[in-house]
Order: sequence, then C-alpha cells, then structure tokens
Amino acid sequence: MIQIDRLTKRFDAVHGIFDVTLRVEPGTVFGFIGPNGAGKSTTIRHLMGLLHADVGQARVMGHDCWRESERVKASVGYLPGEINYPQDMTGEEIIRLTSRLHRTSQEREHRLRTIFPFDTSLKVRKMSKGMKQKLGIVTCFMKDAPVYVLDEPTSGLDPLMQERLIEWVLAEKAAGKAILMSSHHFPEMEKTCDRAALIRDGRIIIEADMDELKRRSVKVYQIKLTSEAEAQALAEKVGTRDGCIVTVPVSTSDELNALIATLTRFEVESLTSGADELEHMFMQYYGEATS
Amino acid sequence: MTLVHSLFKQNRSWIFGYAFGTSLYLFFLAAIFPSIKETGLIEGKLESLPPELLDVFKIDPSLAMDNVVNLLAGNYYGLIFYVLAILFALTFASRLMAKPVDSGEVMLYMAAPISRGAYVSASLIVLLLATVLFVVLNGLSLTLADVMFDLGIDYGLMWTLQLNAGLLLLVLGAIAFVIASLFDDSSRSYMVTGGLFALFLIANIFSGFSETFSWLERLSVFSLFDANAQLQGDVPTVSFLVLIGLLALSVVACYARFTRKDLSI
Repeated sequence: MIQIDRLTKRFDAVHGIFDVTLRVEPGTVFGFIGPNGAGKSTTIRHLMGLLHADVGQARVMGHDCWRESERVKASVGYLPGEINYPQDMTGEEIIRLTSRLHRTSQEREHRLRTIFPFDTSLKVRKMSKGMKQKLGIVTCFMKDAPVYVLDEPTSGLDPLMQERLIEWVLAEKAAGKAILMSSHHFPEMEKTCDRAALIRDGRIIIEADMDELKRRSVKVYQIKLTSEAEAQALAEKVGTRDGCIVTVPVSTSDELNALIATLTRFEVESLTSGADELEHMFMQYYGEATS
Repeated sequence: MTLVHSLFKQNRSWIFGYAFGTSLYLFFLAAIFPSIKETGLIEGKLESLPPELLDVFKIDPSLAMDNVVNLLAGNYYGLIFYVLAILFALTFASRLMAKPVDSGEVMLYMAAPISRGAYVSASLIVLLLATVLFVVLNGLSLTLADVMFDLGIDYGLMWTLQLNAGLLLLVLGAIAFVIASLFDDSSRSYMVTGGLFALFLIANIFSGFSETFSWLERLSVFSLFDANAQLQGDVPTVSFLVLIGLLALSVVACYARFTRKDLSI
C-alpha cells in the first residue's frame, strides 16, 4: 500500500533524507520513530506530494506520490504533525469543508464526533492544542481511506483521548488499513505497531518487526537494597551500584529468571523497572544522535 | 467550485472592503462634484499648485473640471488608485499564497485530492471575482451618483477606465502571486513584491517630471493606465494588449512555479 524506495531529498550536504526505504502493508501499522529533525516529516511530505524527491520514489496504492498526487491523496487520510487550519474558521466549518473536499462518511463522522468530542462552534484561533488535535483526528478519519498517514497523532491529547485514539487505530488496522504513524510516544507504538523503523540524520538505521525489536531490547531494573554492603555484594554479581541502588540490564527471560533467583538471597527494599523496553532501546539511539 | 467557494468565503472581508470602500469614496466625490463645480475652487486650487505636484498625482491642469470623470482622473485614477492597486495585489497574494504556505494553513487544501493547478486556478478565480467586484461596484456607484445628481457622465469613457483599472489590478495581483510563490517566508515575499511595486510607482512618478526621465515610463506597469490620456481622447488599445499579455505571462508563471514548488508545510 505504501512503498518508499531509496527516497533521497538533499537540502544541503548534511540535511535531508537519504536512501529511505520502507513498506507498509494492508492491515498493519508501521511506526516511524526518530529525534526531532531526523527526517520523519520530510518523508511524510513526500507521501503527500508536497516535496519532489531528488532520487527514488514514494508510491501509495501503486500511484507515484508526486506525479499522481491527486490519486494518492484520494486514498490517504492525513493527520499533520501541526494542526494549522485557517484561524478564522470554526471547527464545524472545517469539518463541513473537509466533507466536501474529500469523500467522507457521515456515519464515521458522527462516530468520531462522539468519541472525540469538542466544541465545534469555536474558531480555530480560540481552540486549545488538544481541541485542534481532535479536530485534526476527526477530519483525518472521517474519510474512509485505505491508507492513513499520522504524524504525532496523540500530541496534545489527554490520556483518555490517547487511549481512544489507540483503540480507533487498532480497529482501522483490523479493518485492513495500512497505517504509517510517526510518534515519540512509545507505549502507543508498542500497542499499535507491527513494525517500526528508527530514522536518524535522514537515514533509517534500524527497521524490524516489533516482536523482534522487543527481543533485541534491554530492560533495566533498579534494585534498592537495605544496606550499601548488600548492594555492593549484589553489584559484584550483577549490575552497577550507586549507594544502595543496583542497576541491572536484562535482555532475555533467562537472564531475568537468573536475576530473580539471585535476589532471593538479598534483602531487597524495592524493585523498579526503568524505561519501557522499546523506549529504552530507541533512547540509546536518540542519545547517540544528540551526543 | 468547492475550492473557489471556500477561498472566496475566507477572503470576502478584504474583497468587500476594497470594493465598497472605494465605491463609497467615488460616490461621495461624485456627490459633492456639483457644488465644487459651482464654486470654481478646484481650478483655482490647481492653478496654485506646483506642476511637479500635479505630475505626481497625475492631474492634468489643462482639463476643465466641468465633468466628474475629469475630477476623478486627478483625485482617484492616478496616484491614489495606484497605491490602492498595490495594496489590493499585496493583500491578495498574502491571503492566498504567502501566508497560507508560511503558516501551513494551505494544508487544509493540499491534503485533499485536488491538484496544485486547481489551487492556482481557484486563487486566480478569486482574484478575478475580487477585481470584477471592485471595478463594477466603482462603476455602479458613479452610475448611481449620476442618476441622483445628474452629473452627465460619459459612460463609454467611465467603463473603459474601469476596464483598464480592472486589467491593472489583475496584472498586479498575478505578479504578486508569482512572487509570493517563490518564497516560503511570507515577510520576504511582502518585501520583494512591495519593493518591485514601489519601483514601478517611483518610475511612473519620475517619468512625469521632465523629458529626461520620460523613458522611465516604459519600466512601469502603471503607465499602462493613464486616465488623463483617455480623457483627452486616447484609445488605450495598446495598453490593453500589453496588460493582457502581461496577465497571460504572469498566469503561466503562477502555474509553472506553484506546481513545481516544494512545500515544507
């Protein structure tokens, strides 16, 4: 459904995207992850026919995103990363205009307005970030498209709305839609994505199925012991010590079971897990990017 | 049609503002013309003004102020109209190209299954509608004043002036649109367009100062709308043809540029 092959757009010697290749199949959600300025939005702009590639091509439903952008946009529901609708239009006017510009479903519109409620009589300039985001979600999904491109979809939403959006995306996935989702919100990626890629400095540096990524990822546990002597004793077996706290990285279930067995011989005060597995793995790459 | 309707609705306030504002000005100027004519103050005032100032405002002192159109040639269809036309063109290009692209608002349309060419067409139709409203309401307000105050307006001349004014508005609007599409930064596009139009204006003003500078007239698009020459019987066929040619070139440039432009929105 979405095919990007060796897509290259060079803004200058350093900035741009280089050799980006990915596929999003029907009935799957593809997570697109990366630090700010890594090239996520540039890639998405090519899909929407906003940018012309120097090399390579982007196709949606078999149509070239630059030369056949009308056909591509007819098949794509798009949620931009920044909702910048005309400031003097009301939410209702934007929904009505969207329904005329796109082929939308009244039934979907009604459901979306119930699930993501907000005051549609307000002008965009008076809306909060969360309200604008809900407006963007309604206008994106009221179109029953086979492909969705979502740029930071949960940005500005409260936890309840985030959960509802995840449920909506999962339902769309179950209905056979192909969804490309860029996000920094790792829990939602873990819940929704089947496959993910990390882009850094314009290049995809890792791409794999989510299960594979989880297998590869390292979970970090922080174990607080009752005394520094206990902590020192544990640190000599596993991990590193900072006062009474020992940090232990675990990457397989065998290692986790071995750790639990070891801990039975110590006076443990508390045990907490660090960042989520996926988040931890990607944060390592983020860290490399920013350092 | 949806696109044109939506763009017109979003822009109707400034479109009606220019059309009604200038029409009211023309109506009131025409309404007070009989009393101005009776007092003979205008001729006296014109005689007292330095010729350079008359040149700047495109007022021909040889024209007798016995007709309201003669009065308007000096008090509207000269510098005042040129400045209004510049503001009109800048507003159009800013509202339909520079600002929507800079702020990302144009994404509302770019995400829809419509081509870039369709957006340009819709924008140019809005320009055409705004121009037609501007000049037709101007003409109608003078017609109403004529009916009410029996001003003896030469309708053939008046509508020729309106048509010439309309063509100038279209050309300036299309040029401003092309320049706006060259930049992603709206402030830079205002600066370049404003600078170019100011140069046209200065060239037009200086061309009237002396024979030495008369060649400057050829550099200015404003020399293609000379109300005084038309009042003295000139038929503006060449001006019309040049304006139509410039309009055609600008329109082609609008399509060529915007359909190839990278949009970082």
